[in-house]
Amino acid sequence: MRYSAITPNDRKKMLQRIGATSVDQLLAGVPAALRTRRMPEVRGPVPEASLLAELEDGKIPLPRIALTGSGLYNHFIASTVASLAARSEWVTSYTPYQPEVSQGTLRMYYEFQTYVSMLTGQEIANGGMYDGSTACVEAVLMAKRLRPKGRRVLASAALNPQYRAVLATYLKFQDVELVDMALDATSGTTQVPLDAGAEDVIAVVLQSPNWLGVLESTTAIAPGAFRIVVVTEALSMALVKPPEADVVCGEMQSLGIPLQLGGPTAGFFATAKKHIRAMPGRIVGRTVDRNGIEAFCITLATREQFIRREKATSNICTSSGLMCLRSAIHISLMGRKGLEEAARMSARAARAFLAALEELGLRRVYSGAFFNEFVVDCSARPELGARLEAAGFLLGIPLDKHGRKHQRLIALTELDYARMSTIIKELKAHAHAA
Amino acid sequence: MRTPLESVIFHRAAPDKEWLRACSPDAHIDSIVLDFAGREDGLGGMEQVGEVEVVRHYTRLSTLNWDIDRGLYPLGSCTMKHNPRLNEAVAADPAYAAVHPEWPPQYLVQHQRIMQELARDLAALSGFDEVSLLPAAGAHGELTAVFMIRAYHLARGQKDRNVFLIPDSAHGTNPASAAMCGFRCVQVTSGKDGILRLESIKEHLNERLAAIMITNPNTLGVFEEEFASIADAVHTAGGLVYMDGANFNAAMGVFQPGRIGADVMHFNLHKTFTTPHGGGGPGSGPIGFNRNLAPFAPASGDARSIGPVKTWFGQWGMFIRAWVYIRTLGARGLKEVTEDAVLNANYIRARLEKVLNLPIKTPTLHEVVFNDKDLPNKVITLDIAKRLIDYGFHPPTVYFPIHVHGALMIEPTETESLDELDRFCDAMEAVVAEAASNPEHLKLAPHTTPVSRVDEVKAAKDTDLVFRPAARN
Repeated sequence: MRYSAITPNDRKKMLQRIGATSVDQLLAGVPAALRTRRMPEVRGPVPEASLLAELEDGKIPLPRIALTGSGLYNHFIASTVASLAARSEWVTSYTPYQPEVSQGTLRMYYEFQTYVSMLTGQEIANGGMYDGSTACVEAVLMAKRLRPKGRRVLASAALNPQYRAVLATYLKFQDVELVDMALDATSGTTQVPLDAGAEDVIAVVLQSPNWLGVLESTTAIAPGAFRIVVVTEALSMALVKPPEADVVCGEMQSLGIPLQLGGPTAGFFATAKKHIRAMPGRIVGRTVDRNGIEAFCITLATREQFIRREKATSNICTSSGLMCLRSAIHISLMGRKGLEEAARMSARAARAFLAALEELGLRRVYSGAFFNEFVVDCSARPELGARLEAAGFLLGIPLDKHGRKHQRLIALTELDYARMSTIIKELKAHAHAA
Repeated sequence: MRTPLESVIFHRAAPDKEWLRACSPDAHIDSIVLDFAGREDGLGGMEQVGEVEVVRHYTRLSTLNWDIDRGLYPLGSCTMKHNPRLNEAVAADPAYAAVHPEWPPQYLVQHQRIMQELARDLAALSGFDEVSLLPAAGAHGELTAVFMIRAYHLARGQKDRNVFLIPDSAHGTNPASAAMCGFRCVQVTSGKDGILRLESIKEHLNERLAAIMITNPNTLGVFEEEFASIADAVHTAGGLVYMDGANFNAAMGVFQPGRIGADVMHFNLHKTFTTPHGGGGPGSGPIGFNRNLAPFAPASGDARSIGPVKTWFGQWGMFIRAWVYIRTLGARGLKEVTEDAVLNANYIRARLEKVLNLPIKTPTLHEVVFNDKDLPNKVITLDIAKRLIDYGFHPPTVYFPIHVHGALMIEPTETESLDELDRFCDAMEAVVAEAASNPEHLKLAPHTTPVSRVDEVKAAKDTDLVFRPAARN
């Protein structure tokens, strides 16, 4: 076995020391009747070069241009991020339960929490969640703990459909009704009902920019409502004024995390300090060591499953450490000015591309303000998407399966901004080839 | 040479430092008019650091960590084994890392095939009929299974089945997951030999029973020899059996949970299948289940499905690492993993039971639990753990499982050499000897780390979770 460090001679010596005659004897605790008799059907072993060759043969070239978003965005990630994050001390360490030998990871989590607090405009943040969809669920479950009389959760019809589906799974087995809030057909913003602050409402869940790319506002929501704002395009926070909200949570993928077919990523969770003990997930705090030197450790663990068991605020254990690290490094490299600039480039690219589509006779479906993503009605050029796709140019995501015939959800980033003239030239070339 | 103790990055930040530019901006990038309210708070006080200092900072921070590449990381029930570089290299390839799940299916052919193969391999190893890769981590897999168990009982019109039996040796995530679905957790006690007996659950075998959650081998490293008979009895009473698969490293090629009575189980790809722990994730927690639960699985295509628990496919980046690992070893290699893991743990047991108290003497598989009984001078488990750091080893899991007072739980895994195991045992012996000869030195340990024992009470009392400029010094 490639990763064994025990030689046959070692085995002999070790068995002697143990007082056993064979490894099989050590497995005697497993009753014979329960033992596997057949070797499982698993292919291998395959040596490294053969395996790489097999993978190479199965590879399919990536699209040349892909304007796909919907909660996962192809943003710039500096080479430095991957290089630093690949260090053994980050990759092969465990959850920092022993603070004396985990100060690196602990300091990184504190930085991540601070960056999330800065980006969201909230007082405190935790050390990350699995992803945006589960961060959204945990926000609703926290609201339920704070409002035990609540029976309804109001969710925007423009909450990312996958997030809504995950939330529905979790709420299915609680005594809670998930109610959709309709969209204004013109602006694409959510119409929050006037009774959103009622006692039986656990929370109002909005996404901004919402799934259709439109920015939402929470300022008109009835007082007393528990406002959860989900952000799936984290870079938008560098430009857009932070929402007035009780929880801001979402997906960090835009900031330093590769697409990876949707996972792993990292969720973030930020709220007011008064909710600190109701908050889910790992939290790292700053303190001192025995000699008064600055030190960091996991804190408020009395909320967590390994102490509180069935009374924990969440069951989360292993979460998203390495992805949080990537985000922290990315944000540190970019800084305020770098993030703002990348956000402006993304917004500008989206506007330039929308203008090009409008020249072709297509129109944006909603009028509400947007950041870098929008829905376009392609019914004037129904063949355009397929023709571009054949040339390795993905014109966003077709929304037909969501009951939106000929509509496409299109997102651009600073990486598209860098190739704007090529992208627009190709768009026009294929459109005019008709 | 000692690196200075690096603080958090905000001390290096300033408003006029360089920033990283993604691409060349046009002349008007700062003045484009945006049709929404912009930020007016300077991004919460964020500033720039500059590339060189960022590299220094995260390199220095990293050196404050212990890691498996440096040496043994014997955390019980955590399976800290070698993380192959090959897995990392493949996962970082843009063909696998720079792919969007909403692309047309022709771009995802190879990824789909790898996911199908991984699911098939996990099913073959565990004996379950089907596998869902979706859950994001072990506890998330548990929760998914708990949802499925709930849906199963509801579909049979048995909404009053609300009791989950959980042995005293269980991981904390087990009751936490069950409670998240509204189940009532009833703790059941294992015998003095560390084995859960059918006898001890008999009073709960009634129409209220929803399921039992059993870790096998359990957190003592002991195989639950009555597993099959307990499963039979639970099934007869109308309940289901959840197996916590955290210790699957002791099972490969030896027993198949899905064939000896478990209805559903989670895998930890970040334990058994070498995807890295990354300082607390990302994990990946696929679940295996039998046909009776299949309609309720996420994405089962059946109206009785619980629905998705995560976006898209799950933790693809972890799937491809686990797939590479399984292909690298094959069936025979995976069985050898389990054999060597058991051998290594028993070797440590044989050496250390001479110097430490072994509270439960039943034969163990891949891990072993000692405790601090009989240590002189009021030296406790925590002191042993902290002093071990000075000898160049990460401490074992401490104070878990909770039914063993002062537990020290050791899991070496199969990837440690005999030399490393001997050095670890030598260090443990030396530390125990110090408990008699120099207890004060032990109680103040560690002495060689960047920081000494941390004031966790202060951390919880004066909570400081976010850097504020006022905190600078």
